Amino acid sequence: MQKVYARPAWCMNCHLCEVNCIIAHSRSRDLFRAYKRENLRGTARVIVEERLPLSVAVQCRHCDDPICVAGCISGAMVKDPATGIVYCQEDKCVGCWTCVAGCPYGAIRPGEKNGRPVPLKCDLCRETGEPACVAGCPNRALVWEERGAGA
Amino acid sequence: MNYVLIGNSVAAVNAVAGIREYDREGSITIVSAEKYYAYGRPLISYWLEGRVRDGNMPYRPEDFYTRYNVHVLLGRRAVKLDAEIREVCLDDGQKLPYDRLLIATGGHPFVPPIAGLTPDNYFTFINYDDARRLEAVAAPGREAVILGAGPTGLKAMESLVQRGVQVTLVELADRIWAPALDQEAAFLVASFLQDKDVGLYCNDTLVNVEGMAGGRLGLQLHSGREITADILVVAIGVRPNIELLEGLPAVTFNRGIVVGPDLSTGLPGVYAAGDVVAGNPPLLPHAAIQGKIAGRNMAGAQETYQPLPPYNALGFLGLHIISMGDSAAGGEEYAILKEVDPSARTYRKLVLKENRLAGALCINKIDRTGLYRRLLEEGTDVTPFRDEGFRPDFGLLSLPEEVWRQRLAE
Amino acid sequence: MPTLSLMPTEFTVVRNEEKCIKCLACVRQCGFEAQQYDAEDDRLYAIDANCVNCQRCVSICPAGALTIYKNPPPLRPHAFWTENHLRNIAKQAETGGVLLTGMGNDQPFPAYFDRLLLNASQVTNPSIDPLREPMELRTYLGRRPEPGAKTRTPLVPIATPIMFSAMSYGSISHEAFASLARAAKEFDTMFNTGEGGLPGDLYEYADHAVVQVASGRFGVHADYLNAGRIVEIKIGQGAKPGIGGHLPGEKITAPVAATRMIPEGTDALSPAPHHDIYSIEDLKQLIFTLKEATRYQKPVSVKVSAVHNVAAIASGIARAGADIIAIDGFRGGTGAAPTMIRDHVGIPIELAIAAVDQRLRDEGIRNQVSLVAAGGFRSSADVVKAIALGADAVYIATAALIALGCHLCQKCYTGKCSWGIATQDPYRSRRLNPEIGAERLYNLLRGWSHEIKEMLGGMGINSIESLRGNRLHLRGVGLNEVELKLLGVKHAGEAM
Repeated sequence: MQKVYARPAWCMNCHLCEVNCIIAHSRSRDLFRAYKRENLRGTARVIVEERLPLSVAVQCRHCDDPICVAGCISGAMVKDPATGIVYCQEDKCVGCWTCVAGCPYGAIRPGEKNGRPVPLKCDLCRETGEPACVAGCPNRALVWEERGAGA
Repeated sequence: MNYVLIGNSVAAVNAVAGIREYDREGSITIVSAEKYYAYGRPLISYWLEGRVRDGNMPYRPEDFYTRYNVHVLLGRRAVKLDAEIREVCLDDGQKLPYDRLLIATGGHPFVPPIAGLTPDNYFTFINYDDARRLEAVAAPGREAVILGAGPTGLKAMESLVQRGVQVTLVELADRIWAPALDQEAAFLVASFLQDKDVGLYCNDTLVNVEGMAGGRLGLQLHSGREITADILVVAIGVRPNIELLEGLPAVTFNRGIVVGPDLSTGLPGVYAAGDVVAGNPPLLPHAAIQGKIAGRNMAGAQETYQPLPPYNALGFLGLHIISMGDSAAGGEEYAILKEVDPSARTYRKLVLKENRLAGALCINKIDRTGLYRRLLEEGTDVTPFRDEGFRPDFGLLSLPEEVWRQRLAE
Repeated sequence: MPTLSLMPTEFTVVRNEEKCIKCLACVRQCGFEAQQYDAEDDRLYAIDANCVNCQRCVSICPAGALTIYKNPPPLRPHAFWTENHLRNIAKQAETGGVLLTGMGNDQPFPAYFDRLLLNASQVTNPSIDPLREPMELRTYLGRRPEPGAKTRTPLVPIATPIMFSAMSYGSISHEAFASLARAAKEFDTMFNTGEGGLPGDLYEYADHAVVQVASGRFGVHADYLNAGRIVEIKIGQGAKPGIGGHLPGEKITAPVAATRMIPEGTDALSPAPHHDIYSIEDLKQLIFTLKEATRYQKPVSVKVSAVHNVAAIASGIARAGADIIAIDGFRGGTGAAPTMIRDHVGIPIELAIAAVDQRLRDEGIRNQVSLVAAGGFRSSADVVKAIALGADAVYIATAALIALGCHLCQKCYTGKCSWGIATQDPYRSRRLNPEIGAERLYNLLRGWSHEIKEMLGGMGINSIESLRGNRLHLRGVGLNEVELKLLGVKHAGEAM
């Protein structure tokens, strides 16, 4: 499947992928509203890890047999059989965080939206097309591509 | 191919998905003792406290059974298995022939013999109906005693507290959830419960129950302590539902059903998955993964179930605990790394054995704990990055370069 | 550090708090630690004194919340004691050192390009539409055979008369260097290694490299010479005529050291002169040494700064056997130069081209060599004017760096370049992805080349060859008699 791959050689630690992710997952899809009104700072579904000079954006690998899906007690976390995208049906999530304990990449963080639990995980912007982190990466440190093997 | 699945919970539903990955045509019949379509059992506590409503209980969407072309018999029990002619008899006399059979019957609550205990004066907390029964009585201001301060008891406690019930936990061991929490962690959790006004008696158990006026119960504990309550919940543990296979040749039991690496039982065409399997921790992820693999193997695949170390996420009243492996382990053969902040009620512990992660326990600081779980599962030698374990930015980059590069490319 | 800085800060960073989302991109990207974050108070603030106005934060800010203002002159305006002088004196009073700077001369000397205008065809000689008719920009560099002589050295074709000028690996990052190399190859023109050698992993681009041999001889070996397409002896550089180079030890990282063939962490000092060249005859020896080393397969270029006597020097270079003469004007850039040298030594490239071209023509040897001009080409119009003045091709470097992100903050010498160009710090250099860098440089070459074709077409010319030295296509405006004479152009309004 087409996934987001990080190219750490070109990650420049700007964290704009996080900003773009937050905007893409906001109600308004607007930077100022997302941060100032919806208070979404810190809710990115991609994590930029730093060991400067190295940095890299880590996000869901959309596993073939996702343990977050297997472990989800409410059935909220699913893998779309058509696209392969692993995503959470947020209205079903109860916030038990078994997914957090399961994810072998640490790519799911416990979060909250309007008082409801939300696992902060990449859904490859499944509703909009090209993932916002890739589209907005100023240095092409993230690419969205099909790499075949194991995908 | 004709598939019959006994049980309709997480293992069975995942088995359906597993079967359909390989066999789109075969007939699948599910026999469900409960009268509900599959729901995640751990959801019952959320339902009881009102955070999940009936509409969100189903584990899979409404059209799951039609989309996967599954015939479901609700409220029916399999009472007899004839392995010779490959047929299952149901409680209504119906006979279901099968080519492949999955035993995914799960477990039932273990209720020890206690003087005065009758089916009417106590509750268990394992299925939807248990929760419905409790809902009827869990009114604000009432008092409940929960026997067993393990995950089930704690979740029952949470939902009752949220309903305004005054709860006391009675635990036989010297601390809360002893298999997962060490003394220090258990103390931290206990102090949290104290703040939430939850009662806790450790090193104690229930020895006698007697009815009192107004439907209240007089409970006598082993220590001699006497308490009264409106509600008694027994949450000591579960036992596998193995009745269907009992007495059949070629099947071995070790509490649960002993299965081969492919999850087959000794009987031809008969597989087992989930809590009914011997040695399987009664945890949802494990049931789901086993179900999926059993389903695939039933449909012709040859997958091996690699036993997954136990891991569990448990949250109650705002406290979050993630435990995995031998999280409570202590002793000379272990090296313990710990980071505790009692004022913030955070606790993180890594248990190392021969430089490999044997267990981990995290309370209220649970970000990225899955990374530990994978190290535990893969038995990675953590020597090169041992000091990174508790860095606030512990992550993939904490691992050796060839490892994180590989993981990023997955 | 002095206890009291005598000068107020040069720039002020203004953050629009209404817009700022506290994403901290500015803090992470500022190369000069001017952008700061106080985690305890969750507050962003700027240390204005550190700001060099490189605009990195402004560019990266997703909220458009940042603006950098140049502060007004610290003292009452004075036409003679300008702000520059005041700041320089204060700085030297504090440090006692030589003033250092980067990039090219920023002083308000006349720009002759801006006083030259191009011609266009009307009625009697039709203009040409480059989209409809062929238009040749291909340029051949090297020595034209004299009648009867058997020259073995092949000419080097370039697809456009624009090459990337010398910038050494070490002065610029591997990423910037690789961007230049890739773009040169893709566009089929040349990049220039500068005096720091060619990194081993970039030899695949060597067939589009001008490989330099400078006074320090860094990175020079037989394979290097033979891998390149043109060998260039660097005598001088427009930004700092008469002095050598000094790449401080902190920039000599392991890969830079390996490429330069010097120990890691040692200063790379390029002597002011080549110590084996004290005459044209000495130069001839080196030229032929290099020709021998490359079996006469590589044209040899000699690069000098545009200085007062440049015409005679160029004549000597041609007679010494060079195939290409490269002249670098006083606006040429540098990674580091003493400010006084950069701002006060050398002459404008426009005058140098005209003088050299005229001298070589007068001596009847202009056709023997190619003349490459460098130092301050800001647009395709500047390129066209230089060629009309007599150059075969031009070198661009500052423009190329601007295409890569440079904002001319002139702090190259600090090694802290926020744009990942003039730095060896991997945290900074990685922000210049050569894929993107090469694309931007390619785009620049493509755009300029297209514009050159349009200008040629307008003049009724269908080949760059026909423009070279064709000063009738130029007219001066606001130039005095001497300037017009030196440039060899008529004043605007004068007919053919």
